[in-house]
Amino acid sequence: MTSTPVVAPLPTTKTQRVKRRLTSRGATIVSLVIAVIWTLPTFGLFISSFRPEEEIKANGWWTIFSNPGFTLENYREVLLSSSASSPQLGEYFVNSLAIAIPATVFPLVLAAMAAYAFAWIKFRGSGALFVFIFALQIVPLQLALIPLLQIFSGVLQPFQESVGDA
Amino acid sequence: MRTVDLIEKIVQVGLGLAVFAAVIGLILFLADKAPKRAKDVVQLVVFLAPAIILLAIGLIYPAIRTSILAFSNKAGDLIGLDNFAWIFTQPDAVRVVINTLIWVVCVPLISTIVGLSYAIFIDRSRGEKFFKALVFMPMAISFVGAGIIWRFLYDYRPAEREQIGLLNQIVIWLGGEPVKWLQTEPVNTFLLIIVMIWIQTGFAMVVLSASIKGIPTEQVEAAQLDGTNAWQRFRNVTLPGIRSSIVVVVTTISIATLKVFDIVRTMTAGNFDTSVIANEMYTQAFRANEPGRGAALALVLFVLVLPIVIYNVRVLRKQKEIR
Repeated sequence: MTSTPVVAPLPTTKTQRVKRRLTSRGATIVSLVIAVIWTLPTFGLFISSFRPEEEIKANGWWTIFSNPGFTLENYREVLLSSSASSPQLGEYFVNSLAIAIPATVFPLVLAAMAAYAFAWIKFRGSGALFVFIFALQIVPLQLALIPLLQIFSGVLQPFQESVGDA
Repeated sequence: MRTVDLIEKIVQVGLGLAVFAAVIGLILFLADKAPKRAKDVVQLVVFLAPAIILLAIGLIYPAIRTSILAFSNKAGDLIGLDNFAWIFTQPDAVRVVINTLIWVVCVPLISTIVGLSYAIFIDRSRGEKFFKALVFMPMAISFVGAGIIWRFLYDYRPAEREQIGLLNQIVIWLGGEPVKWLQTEPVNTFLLIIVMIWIQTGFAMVVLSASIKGIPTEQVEAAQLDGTNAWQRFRNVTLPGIRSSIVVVVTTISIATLKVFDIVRTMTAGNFDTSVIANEMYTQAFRANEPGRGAALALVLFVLVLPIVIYNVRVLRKQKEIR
Protein backbone atom coordinates (compact mmCIF):
# COMPACT_ATOMS: atom_id res chain seq x y z
CA MET A 1 0.00 0.00 0.00
CA THR A 2 1.40 3.34 -0.93
CA SER A 3 1.33 6.05 1.60
CA THR A 4 -1.22 8.38 0.18
CA PRO A 5 -1.99 11.27 2.46
CA VAL A 6 -5.36 10.72 4.01
CA VAL A 7 -7.56 13.69 3.30
CA ALA A 8 -9.91 13.23 6.19
CA PRO A 9 -12.70 15.73 6.47
CA LEU A 10 -11.81 17.91 9.45
CA PRO A 11 -14.85 20.02 10.13
CA THR A 12 -13.68 21.04 13.59
CA THR A 13 -10.46 21.41 15.52
CA LYS A 14 -8.84 18.47 17.22
CA THR A 15 -10.03 19.22 20.74
CA GLN A 16 -13.59 19.74 19.65
CA ARG A 17 -13.57 16.42 17.84
CA VAL A 18 -12.45 14.57 20.93
CA LYS A 19 -14.90 16.49 23.06
CA ARG A 20 -17.86 15.31 21.05
CA ARG A 21 -16.82 11.71 21.38
CA LEU A 22 -16.03 11.75 25.09
CA THR A 23 -19.16 13.28 26.54
CA SER A 24 -22.19 11.06 26.74
CA ARG A 25 -25.60 11.64 28.22
CA GLY A 26 -25.05 9.32 31.19
CA ALA A 27 -21.84 11.11 32.10
CA THR A 28 -23.60 14.46 31.95
CA ILE A 29 -26.36 13.30 34.29
CA VAL A 30 -23.90 11.81 36.79
CA SER A 31 -21.77 14.96 36.84
CA LEU A 32 -24.86 17.14 37.28
CA VAL A 33 -25.95 15.01 40.25
CA ILE A 34 -22.50 15.29 41.82
CA ALA A 35 -22.45 19.05 41.26
CA VAL A 36 -25.86 19.47 42.92
CA ILE A 37 -25.01 17.29 45.93
CA TRP A 38 -21.73 19.14 46.43
CA THR A 39 -23.36 22.57 46.21
CA LEU A 40 -26.53 21.98 48.20
CA PRO A 41 -25.12 22.26 51.76
CA THR A 42 -23.40 25.58 51.05
CA PHE A 43 -26.44 26.82 49.14
CA GLY A 44 -28.65 26.10 52.16
CA LEU A 45 -26.34 28.08 54.38
CA PHE A 46 -26.33 30.91 51.84
CA ILE A 47 -30.16 31.09 51.84
CA SER A 48 -30.24 30.91 55.63
CA SER A 49 -27.88 33.85 55.90
CA PHE A 50 -30.63 36.09 54.48
CA ARG A 51 -33.39 34.77 56.75
CA PRO A 52 -34.44 36.19 60.10
CA GLU A 53 -33.23 34.23 63.12
CA GLU A 54 -36.66 33.02 64.27
CA GLU A 55 -37.42 31.72 60.77
CA ILE A 56 -34.13 29.80 60.66
CA LYS A 57 -34.94 28.14 63.96
CA ALA A 58 -38.57 27.42 63.06
CA ASN A 59 -38.40 25.89 59.56
CA GLY A 60 -36.03 24.70 56.86
CA TRP A 61 -34.44 26.96 54.26
CA TRP A 62 -36.15 25.07 51.45
CA THR A 63 -39.50 26.48 52.66
CA ILE A 64 -38.30 30.00 51.83
CA PHE A 65 -41.18 30.47 49.39
CA SER A 66 -43.94 29.38 51.76
CA ASN A 67 -42.29 31.22 54.69
CA PRO A 68 -40.99 34.32 52.98
CA GLY A 69 -38.63 36.48 54.95
CA PHE A 70 -35.65 38.34 53.64
CA THR A 71 -33.31 40.36 55.78
CA LEU A 72 -29.83 41.81 55.66
CA GLU A 73 -29.86 42.12 59.46
CA ASN A 74 -27.44 39.17 59.90
CA TYR A 75 -24.88 40.81 57.64
CA ARG A 76 -25.36 44.21 59.24
CA GLU A 77 -24.87 42.71 62.69
CA VAL A 78 -21.73 40.81 61.71
CA LEU A 79 -20.06 43.45 59.56
CA LEU A 80 -21.03 46.84 60.91
CA SER A 81 -22.35 46.47 64.45
CA SER A 82 -20.28 48.30 67.04
CA SER A 83 -21.71 46.67 70.17
CA ALA A 84 -19.22 44.64 72.18
CA SER A 85 -21.27 41.43 72.15
CA SER A 86 -21.49 41.13 68.36
CA PRO A 87 -18.69 39.58 66.30
CA GLN A 88 -16.17 42.18 65.16
CA LEU A 89 -15.70 40.77 61.70
CA GLY A 90 -13.60 43.69 60.52
CA GLU A 91 -11.04 42.98 63.21
CA TYR A 92 -11.11 39.24 62.55
CA PHE A 93 -10.57 39.91 58.87
CA VAL A 94 -7.49 42.01 59.54
CA ASN A 95 -6.21 39.30 61.87
CA SER A 96 -6.71 36.73 59.12
CA LEU A 97 -4.75 38.87 56.68
CA ALA A 98 -2.03 39.47 59.25
CA ILE A 99 -1.61 35.70 59.52
CA ALA A 100 -2.25 34.71 55.91
CA ILE A 101 0.18 37.09 54.20
CA PRO A 102 3.33 36.31 56.22
CA ALA A 103 2.33 32.63 56.47
CA THR A 104 2.33 32.50 52.68
CA VAL A 105 5.36 34.65 51.93
CA PHE A 106 7.80 33.30 54.54
CA PRO A 107 7.51 29.56 53.81
CA LEU A 108 7.47 30.26 50.08
CA VAL A 109 10.79 32.13 50.19
CA LEU A 110 12.48 29.77 52.65
CA ALA A 111 11.25 26.67 50.81
CA ALA A 112 12.36 28.11 47.47
CA MET A 113 15.85 28.65 48.88
CA ALA A 114 16.00 25.09 50.25
CA ALA A 115 14.66 23.75 46.97
CA TYR A 116 17.38 25.62 45.11
CA ALA A 117 20.02 24.00 47.30
CA PHE A 118 18.58 20.53 46.77
CA ALA A 119 18.28 21.01 43.03
CA TRP A 120 21.60 22.64 42.15
CA ILE A 121 24.16 22.06 44.88
CA LYS A 122 25.61 18.56 45.04
CA PHE A 123 26.51 17.46 48.56
CA ARG A 124 26.81 14.23 50.52
CA GLY A 125 23.55 13.08 52.14
CA SER A 126 21.43 15.34 49.99
CA GLY A 127 18.99 12.54 49.16
CA ALA A 128 18.67 11.41 52.77
CA LEU A 129 18.12 14.96 54.03
CA PHE A 130 15.48 15.57 51.38
CA VAL A 131 13.59 12.43 52.33
CA PHE A 132 13.86 13.34 56.00
CA ILE A 133 12.35 16.81 55.48
CA PHE A 134 9.65 15.35 53.26
CA ALA A 135 8.85 12.74 55.88
CA LEU A 136 8.36 15.39 58.56
CA GLN A 137 4.82 15.89 57.29
CA ILE A 138 3.90 12.89 59.43
CA VAL A 139 4.18 14.94 62.60
CA PRO A 140 0.64 15.99 63.51
CA LEU A 141 0.35 19.71 64.14
CA GLN A 142 -1.48 19.27 67.45
CA LEU A 143 1.57 17.49 68.74
CA ALA A 144 3.77 20.54 68.27
CA LEU A 145 1.47 22.97 70.05
CA ILE A 146 2.46 22.42 73.69
CA PRO A 147 6.25 22.57 73.20
CA LEU A 148 5.83 25.59 70.91
CA LEU A 149 3.76 27.40 73.52
CA GLN A 150 6.49 26.68 76.05
CA ILE A 151 9.09 28.13 73.70
CA PHE A 152 7.01 31.25 73.15
CA SER A 153 6.39 31.91 76.83
CA GLY A 154 9.77 30.68 77.99
CA VAL A 155 12.12 32.24 75.43
CA LEU A 156 10.44 34.88 73.30
CA GLN A 157 8.48 36.65 76.03
CA PRO A 158 11.45 37.27 78.39
CA PHE A 159 13.40 38.44 75.36
CA GLN A 160 10.63 40.85 74.41
CA GLU A 161 10.52 42.17 77.98
CA SER A 162 14.27 42.56 78.15
CA VAL A 163 14.28 44.83 75.12
CA GLY A 164 11.51 46.83 76.75
CA ASP A 165 8.64 45.98 74.44
CA ALA A 166 5.88 44.30 76.42
CA MET B 1 -12.26 48.05 66.23
CA ARG B 2 -10.89 51.54 65.96
CA THR B 3 -9.30 52.73 62.77
CA VAL B 4 -6.07 53.49 64.63
CA ASP B 5 -5.71 49.87 65.74
CA LEU B 6 -6.43 48.75 62.25
CA ILE B 7 -3.73 50.93 60.73
CA GLU B 8 -1.30 49.92 63.46
CA LYS B 9 -1.84 46.25 62.71
CA ILE B 10 -1.40 46.74 58.97
CA VAL B 11 1.80 48.71 59.58
CA GLN B 12 3.06 45.89 61.82
CA VAL B 13 2.48 43.30 59.11
CA GLY B 14 4.15 45.52 56.52
CA LEU B 15 7.09 46.09 58.84
CA GLY B 16 7.44 42.37 59.47
CA LEU B 17 7.50 41.66 55.76
CA ALA B 18 10.05 44.44 55.17
CA VAL B 19 12.36 43.13 57.90
CA PHE B 20 12.06 39.63 56.48
CA ALA B 21 12.92 40.85 52.98
CA ALA B 22 15.87 42.84 54.31
CA VAL B 23 17.29 39.88 56.26
CA ILE B 24 16.96 37.49 53.33
CA GLY B 25 18.44 40.06 50.98
CA LEU B 26 21.39 40.64 53.28
CA ILE B 27 22.05 36.91 53.67
CA LEU B 28 21.95 36.36 49.92
CA PHE B 29 24.23 39.35 49.38
CA LEU B 30 26.78 38.05 51.89
CA ALA B 31 26.64 34.56 50.39
CA ASP B 32 27.41 36.07 47.03
CA LYS B 33 30.41 37.94 48.44
CA ALA B 34 31.89 34.83 50.07
CA PRO B 35 35.45 33.87 49.06
CA LYS B 36 35.60 31.65 45.97
CA ARG B 37 37.04 28.59 47.67
CA ALA B 38 34.32 28.26 50.27
CA LYS B 39 31.54 29.49 48.03
CA ASP B 40 29.78 26.15 47.60
CA VAL B 41 29.70 25.40 51.30
CA VAL B 42 28.54 28.91 52.20
CA GLN B 43 25.80 28.78 49.61
CA LEU B 44 24.64 25.39 50.82
CA VAL B 45 24.46 26.53 54.43
CA VAL B 46 22.76 29.80 53.58
CA PHE B 47 20.09 28.20 51.47
CA LEU B 48 19.35 25.23 53.70
CA ALA B 49 19.87 26.61 57.20
CA PRO B 50 16.69 28.74 57.56
CA ALA B 51 14.40 25.90 56.57
CA ILE B 52 16.20 23.34 58.70
CA ILE B 53 16.39 25.56 61.79
CA LEU B 54 12.68 26.33 61.62
CA LEU B 55 11.83 22.66 61.09
CA ALA B 56 14.00 21.73 64.06
CA ILE B 57 12.27 24.22 66.37
CA GLY B 58 8.77 23.72 65.05
CA LEU B 59 8.60 20.00 64.37
CA ILE B 60 11.60 17.92 65.39
CA TYR B 61 11.98 19.24 68.92
CA PRO B 62 8.24 18.98 69.70
CA ALA B 63 8.14 15.49 68.21
CA ILE B 64 10.98 14.33 70.46
CA ARG B 65 9.43 15.97 73.52
CA THR B 66 6.13 14.26 72.80
CA SER B 67 7.80 10.89 72.29
CA ILE B 68 9.35 11.10 75.73
CA LEU B 69 6.01 12.19 77.16
CA ALA B 70 4.35 9.09 75.70
CA PHE B 71 6.34 6.88 78.03
CA SER B 72 5.69 8.88 81.18
CA ASN B 73 2.74 9.39 83.50
CA LYS B 74 1.08 12.57 84.75
CA ALA B 75 3.86 13.26 87.24
CA GLY B 76 6.53 12.90 84.57
CA ASP B 77 8.02 9.56 85.69
CA LEU B 78 8.89 7.06 83.03
CA ILE B 79 6.37 4.20 83.14
CA GLY B 80 7.24 2.25 80.02
CA LEU B 81 4.43 1.05 77.80
CA ASP B 82 1.45 1.62 80.12
CA ASN B 83 -0.01 4.37 77.96
CA PHE B 84 0.10 2.12 74.90
CA ALA B 85 -1.41 -0.73 76.88
CA TRP B 86 -4.29 1.64 77.71
CA ILE B 87 -4.85 2.43 74.03
CA PHE B 88 -5.05 -1.19 72.95
CA THR B 89 -6.99 -2.63 75.89
CA GLN B 90 -9.64 -0.07 76.90
CA PRO B 91 -12.77 -0.58 74.74
CA ASP B 92 -13.21 3.19 74.32
CA ALA B 93 -9.65 3.67 73.12
CA VAL B 94 -9.79 0.64 70.82
CA ARG B 95 -12.94 2.12 69.34
CA VAL B 96 -11.00 5.32 68.58
CA VAL B 97 -8.35 3.38 66.67
CA ILE B 98 -10.97 1.42 64.73
CA ASN B 99 -12.81 4.64 63.84
CA THR B 100 -9.59 6.13 62.50
CA LEU B 101 -9.04 3.05 60.35
CA ILE B 102 -12.60 3.33 58.97
CA TRP B 103 -11.91 6.97 58.13
CA VAL B 104 -8.64 6.30 56.38
CA VAL B 105 -10.16 3.55 54.23
CA CYS B 106 -13.34 5.41 53.26
CA VAL B 107 -12.24 9.00 52.67
CA PRO B 108 -9.30 8.58 50.21
CA LEU B 109 -11.09 5.82 48.30
CA ILE B 110 -14.43 7.56 47.80
CA SER B 111 -13.08 11.08 47.26
CA THR B 112 -10.61 9.85 44.65
CA ILE B 113 -13.21 7.78 42.81
CA VAL B 114 -15.81 10.56 42.81
CA GLY B 115 -13.23 13.23 41.99
CA LEU B 116 -11.74 11.16 39.15
CA SER B 117 -15.07 10.29 37.56
CA TYR B 118 -16.26 13.88 37.84
CA ALA B 119 -13.01 15.13 36.29
CA ILE B 120 -13.38 12.70 33.39
CA PHE B 121 -17.08 13.39 32.84
CA ILE B 122 -16.71 17.16 32.68
CA ASP B 123 -13.38 17.07 30.81
CA ARG B 124 -13.60 19.40 27.80
CA SER B 125 -17.34 19.86 28.23
CA ARG B 126 -19.05 23.23 28.03
CA GLY B 127 -18.92 25.20 31.28
CA GLU B 128 -16.13 22.99 32.63
CA LYS B 129 -14.66 25.78 34.73
CA PHE B 130 -18.00 26.49 36.34
CA PHE B 131 -18.61 22.81 37.19
CA LYS B 132 -15.12 22.53 38.60
CA ALA B 133 -15.67 25.59 40.79
CA LEU B 134 -18.83 24.06 42.26
CA VAL B 135 -17.08 20.92 43.49
CA PHE B 136 -13.89 22.74 44.43
CA MET B 137 -15.75 25.24 46.62
CA PRO B 138 -15.77 23.08 49.78
CA MET B 139 -11.95 23.09 49.66
CA ALA B 140 -12.08 26.83 50.28
CA ILE B 141 -14.26 26.40 53.37
CA SER B 142 -12.43 25.66 56.60
CA PHE B 143 -13.06 22.33 58.34
CA VAL B 144 -14.82 24.16 61.14
CA GLY B 145 -17.07 25.97 58.65
CA ALA B 146 -17.81 22.66 56.93
CA GLY B 147 -18.69 21.14 60.29
CA ILE B 148 -21.19 23.91 60.96
CA ILE B 149 -22.74 23.63 57.49
CA TRP B 150 -23.25 19.91 57.85
CA ARG B 151 -24.52 20.05 61.41
CA PHE B 152 -27.21 22.28 60.00
CA LEU B 153 -27.98 19.60 57.44
CA TYR B 154 -28.11 16.77 60.02
CA ASP B 155 -30.17 18.80 62.47
CA TYR B 156 -32.87 16.94 64.40
CA ARG B 157 -36.27 18.15 65.59
CA PRO B 158 -38.91 15.94 67.25
CA ALA B 159 -41.37 14.45 64.76
CA GLU B 160 -44.26 16.74 65.73
CA ARG B 161 -42.27 19.87 64.90
CA GLU B 162 -41.12 21.16 61.55
CA GLN B 163 -37.63 19.93 60.59
CA ILE B 164 -34.86 22.39 59.82
CA GLY B 165 -32.28 19.75 58.81
CA LEU B 166 -32.51 18.75 55.17
CA LEU B 167 -31.60 15.10 55.78
CA ASN B 168 -34.43 14.53 58.27
CA GLN B 169 -36.82 16.40 56.00
CA ILE B 170 -35.93 14.05 53.15
CA VAL B 171 -36.53 11.09 55.47
CA ILE B 172 -39.97 12.50 56.29
CA TRP B 173 -40.78 13.10 52.62
CA LEU B 174 -39.96 9.44 52.07
CA GLY B 175 -42.36 8.56 54.87
CA GLY B 176 -39.89 7.87 57.69
CA GLU B 177 -39.36 9.10 61.23
CA PRO B 178 -36.72 11.78 61.99
CA VAL B 179 -33.48 10.39 63.40
CA LYS B 180 -30.95 11.94 65.80
CA TRP B 181 -28.26 11.39 63.19
CA LEU B 182 -25.19 12.53 65.09
CA GLN B 183 -26.12 10.54 68.19
CA THR B 184 -27.01 7.29 66.45
CA GLU B 185 -24.12 4.90 66.40
CA PRO B 186 -22.62 3.65 64.06
CA VAL B 187 -24.18 5.82 61.31
CA ASN B 188 -22.79 9.01 62.88
CA THR B 189 -19.18 8.10 62.07
CA PHE B 190 -20.10 7.70 58.42
CA LEU B 191 -21.98 11.00 58.43
CA LEU B 192 -18.81 12.71 59.64
CA ILE B 193 -16.82 10.86 56.98
CA ILE B 194 -19.17 12.30 54.34
CA VAL B 195 -18.13 15.80 55.41
CA MET B 196 -14.46 14.97 54.89
CA ILE B 197 -15.23 13.38 51.50
CA TRP B 198 -17.19 16.49 50.58
CA ILE B 199 -14.10 18.61 51.25
CA GLN B 200 -11.41 16.37 49.76
CA THR B 201 -13.18 15.47 46.50
CA GLY B 202 -12.51 18.97 45.17
CA PHE B 203 -8.79 18.53 45.73
CA ALA B 204 -8.75 15.12 44.03
CA MET B 205 -10.80 16.46 41.13
CA VAL B 206 -8.61 19.48 40.44
CA VAL B 207 -5.30 17.59 40.56
CA LEU B 208 -6.56 14.66 38.48
CA SER B 209 -8.24 16.93 35.96
CA ALA B 210 -4.97 18.79 35.37
CA SER B 211 -3.24 15.44 34.98
CA ILE B 212 -5.83 14.16 32.50
CA LYS B 213 -5.25 17.23 30.36
CA GLY B 214 -1.56 16.29 30.26
CA ILE B 215 -2.29 13.10 28.36
CA PRO B 216 -1.46 13.66 24.69
CA THR B 217 -4.56 13.83 22.50
CA GLU B 218 -2.76 11.61 19.98
CA GLN B 219 -2.83 8.67 22.40
CA VAL B 220 -6.56 9.01 22.94
CA GLU B 221 -7.18 9.32 19.22
CA ALA B 222 -4.99 6.33 18.42
CA ALA B 223 -6.99 4.26 20.89
CA GLN B 224 -10.18 5.46 19.26
CA LEU B 225 -8.92 4.44 15.82
CA ASP B 226 -8.21 1.00 17.26
CA GLY B 227 -11.91 0.73 17.98
CA THR B 228 -11.83 0.83 21.76
CA ASN B 229 -14.83 1.81 23.82
CA ALA B 230 -14.80 4.52 26.49
CA TRP B 231 -14.07 2.12 29.35
CA GLN B 232 -11.13 0.49 27.54
CA ARG B 233 -9.71 3.92 26.72
CA PHE B 234 -10.01 4.86 30.39
CA ARG B 235 -8.38 1.61 31.57
CA ASN B 236 -5.53 1.54 29.07
CA VAL B 237 -4.78 5.15 28.18
CA THR B 238 -6.06 7.54 30.83
CA LEU B 239 -5.32 5.48 33.93
CA PRO B 240 -1.65 4.69 33.15
CA GLY B 241 -1.19 8.33 32.15
CA ILE B 242 -2.33 9.70 35.49
CA ARG B 243 -1.01 6.97 37.78
CA SER B 244 1.54 9.10 39.58
CA SER B 245 -1.06 11.83 40.19
CA ILE B 246 -3.44 9.28 41.67
CA VAL B 247 -0.71 8.14 44.06
CA VAL B 248 -0.12 11.73 45.15
CA VAL B 249 -3.83 12.39 45.63
CA VAL B 250 -4.52 9.20 47.58
CA THR B 251 -1.52 9.61 49.88
CA THR B 252 -2.16 13.31 50.52
CA ILE B 253 -5.81 12.67 51.38
CA SER B 254 -4.87 9.68 53.54
CA ILE B 255 -2.48 11.77 55.61
CA ALA B 256 -5.00 14.59 55.95
CA THR B 257 -7.63 12.05 57.01
CA LEU B 258 -5.42 10.43 59.62
CA LYS B 259 -4.87 13.84 61.16
CA VAL B 260 -8.54 14.88 60.97
CA PHE B 261 -9.52 16.79 64.07
CA ASP B 262 -11.68 19.86 63.42
CA ILE B 263 -14.64 18.05 61.87
CA VAL B 264 -15.01 15.59 64.73
CA ARG B 265 -14.36 18.31 67.31
CA THR B 266 -17.00 20.71 65.98
CA MET B 267 -19.69 18.17 65.13
CA THR B 268 -19.72 15.67 67.99
CA ALA B 269 -16.59 16.49 70.03
CA GLY B 270 -15.85 12.76 69.86
CA ASN B 271 -18.98 11.78 71.80
CA PHE B 272 -21.32 8.93 70.77
CA ASP B 273 -18.42 6.71 69.67
CA THR B 274 -17.21 8.99 66.88
CA SER B 275 -13.80 9.96 68.24
CA VAL B 276 -10.68 9.59 66.12
CA ILE B 277 -7.05 9.54 67.19
CA ALA B 278 -6.29 13.23 66.68
CA ASN B 279 -9.41 14.26 68.57
CA GLU B 280 -8.81 11.80 71.39
CA MET B 281 -5.23 13.07 71.62
CA TYR B 282 -6.58 16.56 72.26
CA THR B 283 -9.20 15.30 74.73
CA GLN B 284 -6.68 13.30 76.72
CA ALA B 285 -3.92 15.93 76.72
CA PHE B 286 -5.95 19.09 77.31
CA ARG B 287 -9.29 18.01 78.80
CA ALA B 288 -8.56 14.88 80.82
CA ASN B 289 -5.13 16.13 81.91
CA GLU B 290 -3.42 12.93 80.72
CA PRO B 291 -0.63 14.27 78.49
CA GLY B 292 1.09 10.87 78.49
CA ARG B 293 -1.90 9.19 76.89
CA GLY B 294 -2.29 12.03 74.42
CA ALA B 295 1.33 11.72 73.40
CA ALA B 296 1.02 7.95 73.09
CA LEU B 297 -1.94 8.46 70.74
CA ALA B 298 0.18 10.90 68.74
CA LEU B 299 2.86 8.24 68.39
CA VAL B 300 0.29 5.70 67.21
CA LEU B 301 -0.80 8.24 64.61
CA PHE B 302 2.83 8.66 63.59
CA VAL B 303 3.19 4.89 63.13
CA LEU B 304 0.01 4.79 61.02
CA VAL B 305 1.18 7.59 58.72
CA LEU B 306 4.71 6.21 58.39
CA PRO B 307 4.00 3.55 55.72
CA ILE B 308 2.15 6.07 53.55
CA VAL B 309 5.06 8.49 53.64
CA ILE B 310 7.58 5.73 52.95
CA TYR B 311 5.54 4.64 49.94
CA ASN B 312 5.40 8.26 48.77
CA VAL B 313 9.15 8.63 49.09
CA ARG B 314 9.77 5.44 47.12
CA VAL B 315 7.53 6.60 44.29
CA LEU B 316 9.35 9.94 44.33
CA ARG B 317 12.72 8.17 44.11
CA LYS B 318 11.57 5.99 41.23
CA GLN B 319 10.45 9.02 39.26
CA LYS B 320 13.85 10.61 39.84
CA GLU B 321 15.56 7.50 38.44
CA ILE B 322 13.37 7.52 35.35
CA ARG B 323 14.33 11.11 34.70
